[in-house]
Amino acid sequence: MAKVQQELWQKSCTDPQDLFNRLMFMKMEAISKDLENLEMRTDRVEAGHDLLNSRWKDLSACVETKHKTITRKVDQADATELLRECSEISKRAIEILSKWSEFQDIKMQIQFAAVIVGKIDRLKRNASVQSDDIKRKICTLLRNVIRLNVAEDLFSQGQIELLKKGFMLLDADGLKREDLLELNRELRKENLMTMPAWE
Amino acid sequence: MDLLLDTTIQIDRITGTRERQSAVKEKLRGNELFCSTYVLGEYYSNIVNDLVTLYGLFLMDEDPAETMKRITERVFGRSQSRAIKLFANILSICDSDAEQIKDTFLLYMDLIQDEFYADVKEMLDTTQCARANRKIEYEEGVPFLPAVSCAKGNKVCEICSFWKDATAEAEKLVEVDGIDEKIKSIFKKARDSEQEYQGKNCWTLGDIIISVEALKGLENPGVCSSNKKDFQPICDAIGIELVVPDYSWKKHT
Repeated sequence: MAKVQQELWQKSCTDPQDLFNRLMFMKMEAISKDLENLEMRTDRVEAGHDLLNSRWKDLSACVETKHKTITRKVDQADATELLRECSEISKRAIEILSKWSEFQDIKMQIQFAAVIVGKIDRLKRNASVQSDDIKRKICTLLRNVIRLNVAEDLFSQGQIELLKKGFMLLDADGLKREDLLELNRELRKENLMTMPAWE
Repeated sequence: MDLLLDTTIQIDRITGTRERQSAVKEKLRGNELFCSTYVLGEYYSNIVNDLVTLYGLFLMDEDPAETMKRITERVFGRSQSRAIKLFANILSICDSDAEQIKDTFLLYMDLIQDEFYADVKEMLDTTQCARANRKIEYEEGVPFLPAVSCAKGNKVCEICSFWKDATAEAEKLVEVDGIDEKIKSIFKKARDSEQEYQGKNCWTLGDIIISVEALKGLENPGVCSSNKKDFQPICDAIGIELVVPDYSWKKHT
């Protein structure tokens, strides 16, 4: 290669036009090489970009999974706390109902009823009850039954037992519409109004 | 006795005052209770429809005062008095709280449909009433009652077959004093066209349909209704017993 260049050089020294052509040729070759290098570098940059992209995706997925896991753990903790609160209120209501049946006094009955209605209102604010259609309806049924009947007469033992049953249902899982309807039928059989008169 | 409960009794025992419920209970004690899809159809078209409509009115503004105003503007007759009484009672037990009111309405949608069947041994279904063949449905959590098109020439039930099997009773009732002339006129026109039994005429014949259902469908038939005035001549004519609860306390209040 060097020998050929030397020959060309010797020849070019005698012909200025040829020399110019040769120089231009060499210049173009150098530019081509630069371009080739640039393309190679661009390819490398693009490959790096793809690699970064895929790593970014992996990282994002990883972060999202971790976020979900943490959120789920927090949600589970919240749900457990809400259910625990719901259970505690129901149990306390049942205790109060047990005391209620010991008194045969309409004034005491009204006071106990007011406390129980307060418990029901608290239950209805609990998200685990709010998100459960049947539990919310059982709360509404118990609340309405107490309000509709409390000033009429003293609640019988059987009627109080049914109210207790209602609160026990609120502490149970997997309630169905039939559980609500069955409770309503039993309350009516025990001569409790579950809906106000409208005829 | 086998007693077929008519719509007035069903409404009274489900939505009546304590006194009414107790009077009905007393009257029904010791009897086998039956009902029919025809009665269920009337029940859905009256009481259930009123409840769903009232809730719809409430949802317009979720404001008790506005709802009361809308009841007086949009609901009339018996439905209006029902709506006012029910809404006033709901406001009272819910302390006028919008969320409690909504919960109460949604609860009653369930209860009112279930209580119809309380203590009923069997549902008769000779008319296959289309109005009974529906339930409250929900769209976006909002209840509505699917419409049924009861009209002459539109066969949506078996009321014509029902009357084909009860031609003798229809002919007998045309001759009876005390039966409304409008009813007699339907029977006479139906001799030429059975379509006369369809649509609004079917509702006019309601008390007779219920009585004939009892006659044909029960072993020891009787009808229980609080509408003595309309049912007595029908029951006497077709030879079944009418049982009426004692609401005499009403006269003294």
